[in-house]
Amino acid sequence: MGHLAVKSVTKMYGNPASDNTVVALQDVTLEIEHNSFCAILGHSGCGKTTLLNMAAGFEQPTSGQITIDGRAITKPGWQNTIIFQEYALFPWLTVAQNIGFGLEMKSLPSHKRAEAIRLHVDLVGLQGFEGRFPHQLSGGMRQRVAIARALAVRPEVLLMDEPFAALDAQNRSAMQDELVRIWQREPKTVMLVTHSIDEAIKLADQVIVMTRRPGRVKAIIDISLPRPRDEDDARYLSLKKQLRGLVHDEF
Amino acid sequence: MDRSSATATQTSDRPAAPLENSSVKPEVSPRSMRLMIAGWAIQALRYLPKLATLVVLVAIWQFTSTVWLPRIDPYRAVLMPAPSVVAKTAGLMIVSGELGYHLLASLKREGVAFLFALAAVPLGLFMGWFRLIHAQLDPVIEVLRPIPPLAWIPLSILWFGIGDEQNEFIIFLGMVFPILINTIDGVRKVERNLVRAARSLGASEYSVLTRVVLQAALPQIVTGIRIGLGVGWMALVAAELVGASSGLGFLINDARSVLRTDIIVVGMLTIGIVGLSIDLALRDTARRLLPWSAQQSE
Repeated sequence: MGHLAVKSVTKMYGNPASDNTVVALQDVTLEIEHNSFCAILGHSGCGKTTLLNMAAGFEQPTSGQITIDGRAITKPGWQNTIIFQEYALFPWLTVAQNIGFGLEMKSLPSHKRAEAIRLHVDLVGLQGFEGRFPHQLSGGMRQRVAIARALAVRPEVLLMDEPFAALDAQNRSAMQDELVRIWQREPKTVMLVTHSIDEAIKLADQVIVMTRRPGRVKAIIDISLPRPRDEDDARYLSLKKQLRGLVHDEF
Repeated sequence: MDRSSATATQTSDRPAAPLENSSVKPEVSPRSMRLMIAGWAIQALRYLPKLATLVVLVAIWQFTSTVWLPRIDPYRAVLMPAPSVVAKTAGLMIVSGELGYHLLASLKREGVAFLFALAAVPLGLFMGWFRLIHAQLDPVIEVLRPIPPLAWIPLSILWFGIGDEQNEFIIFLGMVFPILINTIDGVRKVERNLVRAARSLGASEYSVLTRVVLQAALPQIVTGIRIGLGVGWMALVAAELVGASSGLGFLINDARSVLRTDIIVVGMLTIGIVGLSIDLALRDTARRLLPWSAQQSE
């Protein structure tokens, strides 16, 4: 299972006793149902990455709680694994070894590990590249490795920090389609942070729009369009208009 | 990929290898022999522009030592042995085993000192990773580091006497700091997201340290080892000049007392060539073992 709940989370940076504290997030409450895809949409500096870091266990909320199936997140782990914008692949490991890293950390026996690596290489379409090193791959392929590596540990919640922001426009669009395909084949609870309205509409079941600093939940929009989503569809366009209005209000 | 294709070409070339032993193969005609020699000559010619200055310098040296100096002052000619004399002496010393004996003694000291100096890798890993350890040990290291290894010679002779241990201690001091400093620096520069990614994939703190931090710092650790071996090699010769009865440093100092400048030059060249070979071998190993690291591709 993987029900992610953020309960009145506030995050402050700096010394609370002095004046120079920065409130990054204020009283954020949201819920992501099991196997549902949620996009957090907002400008840079709205605290969306802070939220993700707390969900990943790298930071702790100043007040409030983030839970997976009722258990509070206290430290990073495979249950709530994260995919970074810059991939963060281990450059000294091959594609297969990168994908197998988390499995090795889980002490999976080697024959099961090999099987899982093969499965996930297939899932992200990297057959034939198992022995390559990350520096021999394109940006899009590196992100595929990162996705496979994260999915291989079978996380309860998958966190993604602007995963396609480092790619060029064509690659980004292709990888978004690819992510939809992968997610449909292997459903997961996903929390994805983005500043792209299109990315949010294309991918998510639920879009959470954040206000500027301090970050608060401004609106929660459910999207029930069938996947893959057509960018020229009238409902897509009206959603886009609605979200653009919400986001641009924040300027 | 490059590597594997390179090996592939080598293997496919193998059937051609017997050509080199053409003198024992009657089916290889003298004509193809001549072609091959011509091929080699062309190969050699291609290197010529690179080595032109070196060749000219050696020629000038030869002229100075055999023609010019003897004419103005025969005594001074002794101080500048000609390349031909040096080559002949080198040949004799190689055949007699004398050069090998001293070289081996030096290499053994370098090797033993290096094994001890490798302790700087785990130490540097801990110092780079744990703030507290760094805070405690850094002042000690900052005080010791600027002392040149050679300044330790008098004290080390009193501690260890003259011999291998004393020499190895001096070499160790030359090696340990470059390795340590580079390891610490490499650890501190490890990309934060790599560590976070590892933790997020369920890695324990021990695994983070050994499987990620150490690996990520490895290119710079290798750089530290290269610098350390170089400094150690220099310290070795100095240590042997004063505190040894074997080794290349001893060899050249001993030759000085009997005015054998040719032996001195042979010793010096050996020191240079071996130092270079160690560095090249290490660089090549690093490139093969760390193909992902751009740092090694200088």
